[in-house]
Amino acid sequence: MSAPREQPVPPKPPVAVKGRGRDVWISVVEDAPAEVLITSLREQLARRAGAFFVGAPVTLELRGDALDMALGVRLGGVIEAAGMRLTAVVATDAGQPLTNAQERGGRDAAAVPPPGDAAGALFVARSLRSGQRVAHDGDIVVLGDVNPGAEVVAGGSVIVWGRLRGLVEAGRATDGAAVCALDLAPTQLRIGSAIARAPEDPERVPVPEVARASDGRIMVESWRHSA
Amino acid sequence: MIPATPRIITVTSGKGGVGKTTTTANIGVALARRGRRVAVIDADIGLRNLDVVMGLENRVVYNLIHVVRGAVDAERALIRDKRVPGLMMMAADQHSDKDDVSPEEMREVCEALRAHVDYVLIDSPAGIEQGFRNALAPADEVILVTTPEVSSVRDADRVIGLVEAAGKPPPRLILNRVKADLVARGDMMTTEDVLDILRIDLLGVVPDDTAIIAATNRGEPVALGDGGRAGRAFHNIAARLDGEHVDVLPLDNHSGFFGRLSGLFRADGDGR
Repeated sequence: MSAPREQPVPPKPPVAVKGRGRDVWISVVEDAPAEVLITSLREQLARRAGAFFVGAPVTLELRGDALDMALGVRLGGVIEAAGMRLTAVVATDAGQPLTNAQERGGRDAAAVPPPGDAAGALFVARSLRSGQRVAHDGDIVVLGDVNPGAEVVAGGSVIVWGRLRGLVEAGRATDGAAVCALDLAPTQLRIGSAIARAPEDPERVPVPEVARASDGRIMVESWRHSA
Repeated sequence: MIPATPRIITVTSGKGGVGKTTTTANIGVALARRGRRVAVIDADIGLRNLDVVMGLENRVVYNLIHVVRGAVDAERALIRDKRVPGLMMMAADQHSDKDDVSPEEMREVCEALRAHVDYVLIDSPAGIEQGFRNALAPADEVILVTTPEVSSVRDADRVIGLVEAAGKPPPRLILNRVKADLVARGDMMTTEDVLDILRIDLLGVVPDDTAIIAATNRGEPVALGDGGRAGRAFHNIAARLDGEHVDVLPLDNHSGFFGRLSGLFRADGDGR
């Protein structure tokens, strides 16, 4: 005796697209080959294309605590092609709290170490909350947001694949350091001896930007290459 | 639907004055009115006020410190609220301070209560020092109360980091004292603005309600009744804690999904 109107349940897509208020959250919910994820996302966005998505800020959630940057970039491309703005990438399983050792370092600790001691890039696969601080002699990459009240201090460059709204100091140990973010809105930004703060403009639409120091001043330019 | 194991929930905030104690008292009342056995514990040693907010101050004989020192069993220090069967409260001590209790002792007190209750709600003191750590130690779950203001959200963000570093699950958020008219004018942070920074699950939104002031002064939590905007929000929060799915009450006509959608179209119409 079969129930009437019984239909096969379609398999859940490996990528979920959810609206949360004004924002869009795109989450990889199942592990799958990159091509499957990209196709799934492209199909879903095409099916739901419309004014709702244009310019919408998107948070991309990847799985695992070792983020696949290549996948993130490719999914980001699909998102941008659909007319949305990728504003943050976060890792769902990156729940490891920063160790005490990282938080203990005081601002005045240690003279700046000589360049060449830099131990490669520090990869922070989660967002930083107020009161959290990451310091490293080399470059620092944050996959997530840097909230107001958080600090990132690098001997080299700082790349924030998300919203940089806290305090950032780059170039303590090297010249030519840069600070990049999908949304560059730090409370305070220092590169070497140059210091600046983000202009207060609640109407601004965030775009990816790069900041460098030149002649003791901070210069900011847009990151996008013209297509 | 009785939960399988008693749940110990710490209510904290970081910033003081955002409504932790009032929220804890009202959630306790609301849960007890749903038939749960609830023990509400004031962990704000030295500046206690949970008993005042609940109107049970004049019945306090033994408090948390008596239990910690072994003078009485935890059960003896629980005051049964005659207005709501199943609701019990343990007061803090005003004359000790937060260093007189250790996290381990807090855990022991909660363990002693587990057999008697479905929920233990711990009202945490403000701040992030020993009192907060004591209140957090026994928690299975954490509720974070904040108001839609930059400074309280900043402190809340800090607290979330500390809660996660302590190995507890991410807190659930109660956004308190929301004023719909200020939000509509753009003078107050929206729920989305707050969630944009804190990125934790939303447990409830409690509108600003002047009835709370009188209720606090009378020692009658608003959740004792059925009406009132804040009261209804607290009842919804209790239902969600019990596992029910309850839609968040819209603040006004324009804050629902379609209200925001139409707002998006208007903004695009400006040609930005």
